[in-house]
Amino acid sequence: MTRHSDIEVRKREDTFSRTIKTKIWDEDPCENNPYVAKQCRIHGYELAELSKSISFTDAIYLNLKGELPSTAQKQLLDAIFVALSNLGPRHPATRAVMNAAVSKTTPGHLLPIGLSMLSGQCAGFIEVENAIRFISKHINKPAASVAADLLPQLEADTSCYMLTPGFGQHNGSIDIVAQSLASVLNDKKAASRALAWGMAFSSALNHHNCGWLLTGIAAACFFDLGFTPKAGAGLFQIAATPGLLAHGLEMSTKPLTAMPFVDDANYHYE
Amino acid sequence: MTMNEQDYISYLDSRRGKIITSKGGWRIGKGVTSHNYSLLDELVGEAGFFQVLVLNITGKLPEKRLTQWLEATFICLSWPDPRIWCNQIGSFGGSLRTSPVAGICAGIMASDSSIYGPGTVIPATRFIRSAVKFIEQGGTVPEFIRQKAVTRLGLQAPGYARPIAKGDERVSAMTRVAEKLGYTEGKHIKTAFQIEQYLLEKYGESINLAGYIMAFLSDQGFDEDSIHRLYSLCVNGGIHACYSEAYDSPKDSFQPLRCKDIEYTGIPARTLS
Repeated sequence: MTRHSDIEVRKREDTFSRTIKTKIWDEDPCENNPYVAKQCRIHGYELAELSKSISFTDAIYLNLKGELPSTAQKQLLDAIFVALSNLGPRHPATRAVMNAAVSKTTPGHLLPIGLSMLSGQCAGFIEVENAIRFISKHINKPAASVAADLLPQLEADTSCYMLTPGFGQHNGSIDIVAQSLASVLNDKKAASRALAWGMAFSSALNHHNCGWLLTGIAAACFFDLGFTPKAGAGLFQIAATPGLLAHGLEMSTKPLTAMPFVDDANYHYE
Repeated sequence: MTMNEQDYISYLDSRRGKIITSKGGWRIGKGVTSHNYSLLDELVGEAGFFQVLVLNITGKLPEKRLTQWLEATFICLSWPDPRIWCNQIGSFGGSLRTSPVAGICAGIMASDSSIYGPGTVIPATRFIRSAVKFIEQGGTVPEFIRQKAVTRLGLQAPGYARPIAKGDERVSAMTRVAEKLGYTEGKHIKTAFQIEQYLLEKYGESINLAGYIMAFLSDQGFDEDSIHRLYSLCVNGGIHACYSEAYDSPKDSFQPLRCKDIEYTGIPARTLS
């Protein structure tokens, strides 16, 4: 038998690209310095011209989709960005940022900390990505029958607050704010099959004290706008940044005592 | 049924304003404990850093030789080569003069990958454990590989093969360390090498360091989540090196790119209309 120590280590014959290829960004170098650009373009549009004419929402859509959004698409994207712009100071990601800020973490780390918190399977990147995949998989089936198939999980698992990514319970109840935001977004002109299907699915779940979660609304909007699961999940993170930054900066000027520090009497070692 | 709303509220209220922990913590003025060990009276100066790390994660203080073995694996994963993807992120951090914490943490996050680094821990652990189970139930290595690792995308065997090179010199190094520390081969390691033998003959691929580590620690009784947590920072040594060198070098001097080093393949220049 060959022992591992007998195995020769040799380079694979992979061919690596000699340049970096992109279809997003193009630039013209200065004549006198090839490291300095004199003009840059995003998907063919010159950067200064874009800066004069389009909004940040347009720019996000252009970067990810390669074209500018229609008016209706922009309205829906704006609306979901507003809906997600502040997850509130009770959200663990916001609390993480506030906790860092009050303990005088270098301010440039506040957003990366918050966005790291929004990378996970609960209320983060992975949940939104999976919610988009879930909607994509089931959108051609009747929402009520999909709900009926999933609901037995609730019987089996009493801690099952997330019935499926994007839908479930928030602290033991229906997320009332999420339900009303979904209705607002579903009224937008660019709202399409995913939001409509999600409304029906959530409605079927409401009888069982479950419904839309914010991640599900985000997933449905980004699906209707034609974003891939990974792009939609990243947009969820982008959308949440204003609140993360605002709550962090608010706390960064306050003393260490401005946030609770659990006293020993309430610290239970079991 | 789900916990009813009132029960759930009561449950949340029972934890509100409190921390309930099985780990330990700081009793102010009285001391710090980890799983009933006094950190400052019993562990400092007596236990190694990796012993305390394992204790904090699993609640069990491992024998000292295991932490020597763990430390050796971290050395194996700490190459000061900025071509390694996570290390290069450390270099960019140094180049941009981020704090070392930001640059090194960014590199650590990059190592959370499906093709190398701690992102491979769970699939590699599951793979070797399912192989052991399969063989204990009467299966053979070729059958296991055919059923579990041969896909339409080719061989997908977590813990085997690696990017850039065939073979993995770190496995030989760690095998020597294990022998020196007096470890004998358990069932996971034995199976791991049997699989390697088959893959070498059939595909020319061998076990990689992650595959070896997961098999070894499975033999030592670690669960997959504990291994994942233990190895979350495993590449930091190489990132530290690459961050430091880039930080100490002139700004913009790490891997400079001319405008035309980026090859544009998209839509030609156009105007807004």
